[in-house]
Amino acid sequence: MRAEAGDIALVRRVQKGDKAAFDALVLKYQHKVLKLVQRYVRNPTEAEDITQEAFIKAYRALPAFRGDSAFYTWLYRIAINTAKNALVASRRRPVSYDLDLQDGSQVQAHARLSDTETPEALALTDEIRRTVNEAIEALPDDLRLAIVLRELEGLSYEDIAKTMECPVGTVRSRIFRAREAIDRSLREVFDGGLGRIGDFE
Amino acid sequence: MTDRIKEQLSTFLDGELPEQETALLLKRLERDDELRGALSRYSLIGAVLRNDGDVPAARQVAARVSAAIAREPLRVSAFVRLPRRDALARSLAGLAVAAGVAFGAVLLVQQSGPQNQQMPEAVIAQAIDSPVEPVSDPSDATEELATSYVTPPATDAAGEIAPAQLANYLVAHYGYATPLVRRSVGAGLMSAPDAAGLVDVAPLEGQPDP
Repeated sequence: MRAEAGDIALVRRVQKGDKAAFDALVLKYQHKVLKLVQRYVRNPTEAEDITQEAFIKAYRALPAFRGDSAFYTWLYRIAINTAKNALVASRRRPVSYDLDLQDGSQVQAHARLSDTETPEALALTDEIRRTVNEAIEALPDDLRLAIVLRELEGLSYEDIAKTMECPVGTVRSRIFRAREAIDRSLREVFDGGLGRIGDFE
Repeated sequence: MTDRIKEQLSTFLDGELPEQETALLLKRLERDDELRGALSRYSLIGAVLRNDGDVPAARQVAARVSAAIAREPLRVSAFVRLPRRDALARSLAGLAVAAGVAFGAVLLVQQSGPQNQQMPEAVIAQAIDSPVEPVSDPSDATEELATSYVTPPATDAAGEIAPAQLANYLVAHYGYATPLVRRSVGAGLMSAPDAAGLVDVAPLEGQPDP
């Protein structure tokens, strides 16, 4: 998949000493990793600490990453192990046991735990979800189809171009315009005071 | 932040941005907080779509990781491919060093004489078993990825290289030679008529006497 190739390109940059490339990987995966860790650790602050630790461990181990698996799969295992170690250290039991450690994507199928977030965080999460979904619905058909094919189906730009019978450059533009339209709505949520814009540095 | 840059950001997130544009964008990301915020939100949008909205709000994770990484020492991978010219130069240098070592080994073997009749295979086995100490970095004592090694200190007071130490050296530095050179050096050492003399040496410090 093209996204994985992009990750590997970033990883290679990090391996050559480019720390900014690692920042980009963190920005890209912080939400997924945090969500994963929150399935093990109830306290949101502690989950963020563990997420941070997992990324730092990944950075330290990255020189040894050969690219045999997808970057996120590798990162996923580090995050799981970091969370488990934290649980052992604090002598607590994990919230969920039934995660398949071999497949990072399976974590998405698990239900959210109601006690993992504060009321404020839950309200923010719900508001984000509602805003994104409404913004998606409001998109013109061609923009909505482009971003759905990309984000939900995981198609490459080339495959989307074939599906939509348009040039790759048009796909690139449509996906950007879709994201930008949704982002405008999201920024209003954050600027409106419910969210904290600084939280999404 | 222009739409053109944000479009690059969107393409970058999908792994579709060409290498040269990626390099420029990463430089810009380093110094542009607004751009970083946009990348985080674009990523959040995808996470929301894929997870049906069940995405926690990452607070300061990225900023904290970035600050922590900035304090980390630079870590460059041994797996990063060298440019072709560098790789060729390194191969040639390795070849030259290995050839020199092989030549020296043959000379030493010829000079040492038949002092011991132990099999040459035992020489190599002894060399592999001899201590090869990892270099420890005091600033990173828990790091599990130590990859550098040093050979044991010389113990021969006469200033002459002990044959077993030479074998140690060859084994420890095999990694720097090409497979062809490794074979030729090993074969040269083992097929030398007086190779048996190699084993007649005192055990290295800290190593049990076989």
